[in-house]
Amino acid sequence: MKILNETRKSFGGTIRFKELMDELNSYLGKLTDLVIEMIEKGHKALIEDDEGLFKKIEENLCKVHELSYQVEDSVQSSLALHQPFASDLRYILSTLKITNEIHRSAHDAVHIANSTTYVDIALNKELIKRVVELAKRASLMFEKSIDAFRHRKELDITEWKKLDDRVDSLHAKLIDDIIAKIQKEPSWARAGMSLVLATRYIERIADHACNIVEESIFVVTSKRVKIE
Amino acid sequence: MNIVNKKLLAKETKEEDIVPVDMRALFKDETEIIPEKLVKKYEIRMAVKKLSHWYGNNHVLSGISLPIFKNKVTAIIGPSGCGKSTFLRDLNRMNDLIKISRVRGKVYLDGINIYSEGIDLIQLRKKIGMVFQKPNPFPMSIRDNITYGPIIHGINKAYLPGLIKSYLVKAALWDEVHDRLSESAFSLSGGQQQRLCIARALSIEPEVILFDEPCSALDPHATAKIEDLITKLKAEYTVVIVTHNMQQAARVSDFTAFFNLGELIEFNSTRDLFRSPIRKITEEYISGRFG
Repeated sequence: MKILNETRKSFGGTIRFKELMDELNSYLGKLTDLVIEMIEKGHKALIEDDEGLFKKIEENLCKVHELSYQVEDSVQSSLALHQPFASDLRYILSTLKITNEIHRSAHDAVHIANSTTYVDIALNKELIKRVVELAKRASLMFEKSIDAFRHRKELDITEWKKLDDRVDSLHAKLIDDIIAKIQKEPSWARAGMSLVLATRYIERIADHACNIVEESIFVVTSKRVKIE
Repeated sequence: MNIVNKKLLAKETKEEDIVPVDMRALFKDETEIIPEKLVKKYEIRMAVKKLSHWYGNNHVLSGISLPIFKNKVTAIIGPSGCGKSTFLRDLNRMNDLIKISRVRGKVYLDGINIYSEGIDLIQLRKKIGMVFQKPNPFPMSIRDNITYGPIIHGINKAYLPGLIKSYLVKAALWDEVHDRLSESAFSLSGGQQQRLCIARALSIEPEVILFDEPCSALDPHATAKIEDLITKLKAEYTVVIVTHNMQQAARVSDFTAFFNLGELIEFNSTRDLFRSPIRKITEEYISGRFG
């Protein structure tokens, strides 16, 4: 309820427009919560070597699709019925773009969980620990980026460039070490490949977070910036 | 001095008494509100410099400076009572008719201050036509509404039939009324009456047309026709429109000026003003947070 009241304060226009924005933000909130849960379960599947979790996470994709359509529907209604301008318009357009980023993150979470199939956790504890550390960073970035977007917070682009660089360097180091291990133990190639893919999906979640941050900055300042 | 400006002068005024100014130079010290790139890029048809207006003791406009670009549509927006319509009527000295009205500042048409002595007001209002909020055709036939102005201005009557068709075509009304020109103008619908008023305004060959909320009394279909007409008219005329409808300003204008409490708050291309207004108060107004 608190968020809904904040939503109303953030938007101009009529009561009906604000109600529609409440609805849009509510769908966006539900979608975000669901995908964050999926990402966390994806990490858990890696740590606990729980293949059963993969099925549960995959089942959630239907709900993700459904919520994405609901967000799209609210966007359509707001444009068709209320013709917003300026930051309200930017928020609505950017919502469509970040919904796509959230949606793709959900698929990444499913892929992360799936990669546990070929990785024996007990034999790769040190590497898995580092993968999980990377995953926690990406997950936190994802959560923070959406929170900033929904509350129209002003973000420091330099700080986000540093966060992105840190994830990129951790990711690159992990890949190097996994490849070194494959070279040393060729029988471990399949597990190694799965782990490479898992880290790639985790790094992509951090990339989605950066894209969401770019949209947040656009909504607040109307300026396009790139985190590279 | 060009022919247009000569025509603005009363017979007794000597041309050498009035020297046209460089209108671009007027905005060199106004870059905080008037973007320099626009003044450099577009040809200025009219220039308003530090215009203030009072009705008795009521100060309704305060130091407005604004360029009106040639063959472009400029929208004036702002909350009720911000001085939009007063500003519009100052552009062709319609406010001179109000006794308690007092103006300070300058309004230039092609470099000549229309408030200087020696300006022929009839010629001025011929050059700067006006269309009002409510359609106000004369109580006469459709044909006579068009020919009234040209006859007053002494046109050779042999040209009249051609003119009637020409202006009704320009106002996108010919197809609907060509077989009923003798009927009363009041037999037309509201939208048709407004287009007739536009045709009437065109018949005296203005160079600038001022629209004061031209669609406020019309349905969406008639509104769309007037908006299309305004878009077509800018090829030949310079247009200034006052509107309360943000979507209409966004749809029809090339430039938008936002007024509040008698001051010009922001001026920019319509595209920039409606997407990324610079001032918070503009953002709040166009997105319906106040006003």
